[in-house]
Amino acid sequence: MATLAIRNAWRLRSIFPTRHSRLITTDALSQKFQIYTSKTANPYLNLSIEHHLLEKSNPDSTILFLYTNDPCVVIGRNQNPWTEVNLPQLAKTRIKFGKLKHHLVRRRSGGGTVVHDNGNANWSVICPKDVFDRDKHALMVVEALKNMGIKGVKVNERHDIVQDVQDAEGLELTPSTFKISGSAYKLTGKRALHHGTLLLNSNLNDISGLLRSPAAPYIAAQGVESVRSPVCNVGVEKNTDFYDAVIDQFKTMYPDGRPAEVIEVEKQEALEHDNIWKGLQELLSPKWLWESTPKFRLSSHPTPEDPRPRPDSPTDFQLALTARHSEILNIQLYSPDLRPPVQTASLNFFLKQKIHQLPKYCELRDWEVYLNFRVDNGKTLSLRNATLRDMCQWLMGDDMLATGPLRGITQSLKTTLKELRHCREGGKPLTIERLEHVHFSNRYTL
Amino acid sequence: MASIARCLRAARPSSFAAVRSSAPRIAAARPFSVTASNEIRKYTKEHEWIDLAADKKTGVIGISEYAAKALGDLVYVELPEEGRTVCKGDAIGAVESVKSAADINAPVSCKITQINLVLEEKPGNLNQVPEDDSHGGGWIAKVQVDEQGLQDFETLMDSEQYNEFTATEEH
Repeated sequence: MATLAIRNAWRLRSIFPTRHSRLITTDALSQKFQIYTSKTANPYLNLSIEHHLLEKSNPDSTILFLYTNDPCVVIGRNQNPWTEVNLPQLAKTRIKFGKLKHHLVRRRSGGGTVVHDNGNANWSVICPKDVFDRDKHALMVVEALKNMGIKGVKVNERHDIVQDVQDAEGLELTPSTFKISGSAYKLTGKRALHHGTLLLNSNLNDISGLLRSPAAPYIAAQGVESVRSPVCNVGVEKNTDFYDAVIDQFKTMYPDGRPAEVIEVEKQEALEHDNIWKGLQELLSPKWLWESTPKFRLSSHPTPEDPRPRPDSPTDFQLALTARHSEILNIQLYSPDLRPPVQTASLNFFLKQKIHQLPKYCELRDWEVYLNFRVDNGKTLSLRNATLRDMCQWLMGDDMLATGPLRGITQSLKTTLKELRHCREGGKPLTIERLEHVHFSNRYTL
Repeated sequence: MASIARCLRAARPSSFAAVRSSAPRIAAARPFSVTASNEIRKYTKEHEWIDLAADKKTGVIGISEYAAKALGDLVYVELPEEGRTVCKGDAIGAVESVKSAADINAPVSCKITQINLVLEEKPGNLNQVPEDDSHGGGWIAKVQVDEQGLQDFETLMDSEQYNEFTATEEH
């Protein structure tokens, strides 16, 4: 009851007008040239600040925004998390209370999948659409790196920044060109946003494991596929040194005669902006993450439309399903051991369900209730029928739809949102005990 | 009912057959570049177009050839949500090309009644025939237009004005 009273007190605060950030003021957003750096490392919040700058700034302005994220895997607007990311591996890296070591984020711009950590810096330039050029600001970053004494960097034909690397004796390595930055873009009615990564001092060991999905060989997907490249760090210790170089180059490119002003955006103040909070809630919603997925077809065996050989097809059955926006549109199953009504019932169970809302395979003790049938002689069919159990295990297990890991990832979104809401409402920083409370209360509200 | 009866009669050979067959037949496929004379097409400054039907209640929307060329080869079209009601300028979907997600905005206030699902599978259709509103065309959605939508429609540019506008944009 005491907690209820406290919660109601927090709710009262929302009746009073929320403070706007002192720093991202209407005045700041109207300037012709603006420079911001972020003091938070939460990837969802940084992307929401960026989106706020895109939406609310003076349409004639040019803005530079620099930020660093905690470890996360970021997929593009129109990508498929099942094919791009090793979801079971991601979900396994739980640190505390349902939060993952690597967040899973779907950004609003296009392009492919990248992995961020604190050794990677993100730069973002927003400008009027009529002067939009895909290379212009990548070239600006290349100049900034050159000014820091980094050699061999240039922009390639895919608008990414690459570095030609030679070993100490000057002999060329194979491969000799490594990607150090990837670019992505978002275009609205009047504005263009170009953002990119920069590998300064990142842990590159985790990357390939996280980005090789076991389900990829079985899924033919619409949307955008990532293009793989070998990567390397440029070897800069402090992100702020990189920020300073880029800010100098931005000012060189856009001399406006005004004194230098770099606005540092604080986490608390960003959260109090209603528009940033709104965008944040969208990025943290399971709907945004899973239901933005374009149509895809998963099939256990090669088909005429998708003849790729599969590494490990099941032997007792053949299965194919089509999903759009995470909703299962159709599913076909063939097995000599499964006949109607069992076959029909088990297929009907999956139809129209959203993949990220499917129960974990092993959580269901009463499959009969879900499958909703009994065979003619009055006996219920339990999952002792090996083929049915194998089918569900194959489809919903870690190597395919990974329904268990998906729920863990969705739970992590909710924990993150709760933490940020708590911060926005001005609560004391969360201690371990309070985080525990947040985590356990999640488990009953999912 | 009368029309069904007419069809049944036509199926049986009769002395009317000769008369019937001389009546002009409407071509089954619409030629792609011909706009039916009772539809009006207008454009926005953001390069979306809308064909308003003669009944002024329905329309078809898409993006212009100028925009499709500028965007380059599309790799994905994110279609609007069916059944959604939007205001002029609202983002109703997006197209992706060369790592760029570009918003598509509603040219007028309207309600989305049908979307061109073929585009999800074949975004190339939008590049090839962006201003075609037939089955294989690059149209994006069919809409229902209300009073507000009609008012918005009056503020848009017609083909000539749009061509002038794009000519000046190219500097």
